[in-house]
Amino acid sequence: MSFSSLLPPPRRTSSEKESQVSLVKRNRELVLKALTDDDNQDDNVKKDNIFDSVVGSKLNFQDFVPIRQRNFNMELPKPSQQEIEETYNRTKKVFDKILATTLQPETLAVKNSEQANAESYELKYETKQPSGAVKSRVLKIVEKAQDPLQPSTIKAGKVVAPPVEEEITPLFHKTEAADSAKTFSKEERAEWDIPAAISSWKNPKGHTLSLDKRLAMDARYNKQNVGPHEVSEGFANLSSALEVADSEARQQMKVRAEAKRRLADEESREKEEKMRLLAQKAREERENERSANARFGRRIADHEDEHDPAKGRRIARKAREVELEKDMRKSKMSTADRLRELAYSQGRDISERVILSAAKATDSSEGLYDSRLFSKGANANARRHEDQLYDQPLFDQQARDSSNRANLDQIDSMIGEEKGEKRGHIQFTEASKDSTRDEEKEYGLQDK
Amino acid sequence: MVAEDDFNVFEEAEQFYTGTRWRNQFTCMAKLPAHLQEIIDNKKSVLQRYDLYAQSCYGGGDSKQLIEFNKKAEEPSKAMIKKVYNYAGGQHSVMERQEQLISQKPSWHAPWKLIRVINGHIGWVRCVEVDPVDNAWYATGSNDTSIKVWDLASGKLKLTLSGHIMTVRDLAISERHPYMFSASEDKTIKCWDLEKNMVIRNYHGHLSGVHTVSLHPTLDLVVSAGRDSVVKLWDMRTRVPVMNLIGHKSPINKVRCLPVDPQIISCSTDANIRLWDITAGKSAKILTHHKRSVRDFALHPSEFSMASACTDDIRSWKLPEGILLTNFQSTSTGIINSLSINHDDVLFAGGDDGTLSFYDYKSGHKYQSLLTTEIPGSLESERGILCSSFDQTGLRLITGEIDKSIKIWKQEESATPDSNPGLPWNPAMSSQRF
Repeated sequence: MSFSSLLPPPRRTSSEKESQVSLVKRNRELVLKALTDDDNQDDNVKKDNIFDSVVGSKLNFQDFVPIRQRNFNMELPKPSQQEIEETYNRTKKVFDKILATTLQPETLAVKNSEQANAESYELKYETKQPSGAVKSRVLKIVEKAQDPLQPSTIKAGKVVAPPVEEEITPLFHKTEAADSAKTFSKEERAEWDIPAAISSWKNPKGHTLSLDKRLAMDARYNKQNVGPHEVSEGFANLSSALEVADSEARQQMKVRAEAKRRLADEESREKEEKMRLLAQKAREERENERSANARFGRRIADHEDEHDPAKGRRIARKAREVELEKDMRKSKMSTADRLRELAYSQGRDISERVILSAAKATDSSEGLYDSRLFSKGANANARRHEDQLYDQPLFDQQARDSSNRANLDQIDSMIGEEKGEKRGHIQFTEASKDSTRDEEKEYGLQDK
Repeated sequence: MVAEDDFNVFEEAEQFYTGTRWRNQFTCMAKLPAHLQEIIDNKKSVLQRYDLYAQSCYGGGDSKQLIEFNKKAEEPSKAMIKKVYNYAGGQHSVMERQEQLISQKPSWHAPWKLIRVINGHIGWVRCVEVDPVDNAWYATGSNDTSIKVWDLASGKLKLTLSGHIMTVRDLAISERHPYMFSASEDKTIKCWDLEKNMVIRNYHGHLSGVHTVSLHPTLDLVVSAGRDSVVKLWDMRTRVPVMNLIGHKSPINKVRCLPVDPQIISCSTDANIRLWDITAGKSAKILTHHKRSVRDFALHPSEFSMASACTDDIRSWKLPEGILLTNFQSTSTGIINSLSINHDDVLFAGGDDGTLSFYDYKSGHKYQSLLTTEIPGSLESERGILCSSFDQTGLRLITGEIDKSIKIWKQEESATPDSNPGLPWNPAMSSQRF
């Protein structure tokens, strides 16, 4: 006996099966043809063959005849209780069997210890020692205990369903294939012809479309109306009206703005005039007062300086001028400067930025808003540091360095200005020019 | 040449042998043994069977003829075609059948009207199932993944069950257990305990969305099918898939169970209806009359038959065998999503475009056709019926629709055959259609 005889027969080589399949296939085609074609006697299909074939024997004219149309009141009783019970018993048996095997397949059955013991058996085993004595042992063979809860070590593979052995059933309906077998006439085909669209952007092959096709493609044209659709005049009217209204509105706005500006100008001019008048009045008053004082003073000073009244007037004018200039400068000064002045006049030594409300935060464009408000992704809720409340310091390093240090230059110049002297830089110079001896020359901090 | 000769000789020998045996053994017998008669009947050609059938129907059927074993009918196909297409002669011409059809009158049914619209779901209502025991409530499953239980009498919401994560496509309520089963597109079937109102079992195993679920009336089997075109039978308690029924070539739309053979019926988008033999695990009969996807079929509650629908085509079938009973007047109904039948032989077909068609089940006569009113705020295109069910008495029709509403319909009580004659009964020749 050869091994090959034990192997299952090869699957695909049996010509018998193949021929059967082809026969079945052919039969199906023939039936289809016979059912869908009305009168094709000239066809080389012999109808005798169809109806005598495997499928043909299943084809039954009754399959097409609705039997109730003969008698509407045909009785179709429901199945009896006995029938139901019979079916139940029969089916239950089948499914119980299936369930039993699927729930506990034989290969996976785990035996308990009693079962395992029951199946154990003993073996007597004799060995001959080199000395010649016979030693006998008894071996008990027991199946190895298995953990019943251990998951199966057998991998479940995907089981592909075996092909279903089914009898061929004839199709009792018209198929799509039969429908599509209908041939269309040239006119019918032309009706469905859609002109090829050519891209307005790309045309590497250089296709051209005739003008009529292009027109046919254009949605604005159709067969009835060869010209382009007329656009209602209303649209043009509407757009021009809108334009006019728009320009009018703009003009009016312009005029109104101009009038407003003029009014504001007038008002400011009036105010200025008023102020000027007031100032003049005040000046005149002061003038009067001063002249009165001067008259009074002159009476006192007549003894010392009566011979030169012009000089006194000149001095007074100069003093007034200086005062005016100072006022002017003061009015031009910023808050910080004014405060600084005030502090200086009160004899306080102050640096530039410590003055409250005068320090300016370091200007940075991105520091306008706290960036953590925007960047949710950067875990904005979490503070980066316990002490760090803001993402950026109020003053940058440079500002911090300079804020608590007196700007001597500025202060000096200010003091100088205040005193009315022009002051230069501090320089070391010779103390006395007249001393001739070098040793005697003194060096020190001196104003130049 | 030699081989062919051999073959002929063999054939002749066989013919001679069979002929002799036939003469010796059976010619003198009045009646053939049953098993032999069956074989002979099976060997008969279509025309012969047809003749027998005609005889049995129109008298003289008693005189049973023994047809000779070897006799061949001369050109049976031609003769048959003559009979089918020959209008002039023959007892069974199409015209004659048409006359027969016209001579009968379909029974009258009162027209249906809308009585209640229920809103509650926030998605399409895909399935409706009425409580089979008390007829007190009904459950609906929706595209919004929820199942809602409504009181039938008052129309109030009793319960919302959530657990599925995709559309609930079908529900099945058991008569023998306090369980409800729901099939969903999330590939699972869930078993809800209606006493605790929670999921107690999941049935995993479908490779794709589950479209339909049904319960075996006597056995503890859950039958489901879906997009993977396999009918799966589950053991209810252990959740083990006990059987796969393979055969459909496209997604399966509906599965229903019967207590006797065929115990499972399924319809599919491959336009076939299969009657399954679950003891053998294969289809016992395939109904191929429909041309397009069979979206629904319905079992008659009081007789052993069913009706199935595809686009523009409703047919009813005699049940254990699957013989064509009626072609309904349904040529221009459009896509039919849902079928329901009540005890009074009213067949309801709900269309995808929102048409409700009511038929007399026995004659196939369409006696009423109306459009649903979409609820305000929904588009016209949202007018469509997805599912329907009569309640257990058959007096109320519940439909679930694309406009997310549930509508309840009932018959006009005051209607009489004179006041509401319904659509005219003009059976067209097309009801003889193939």
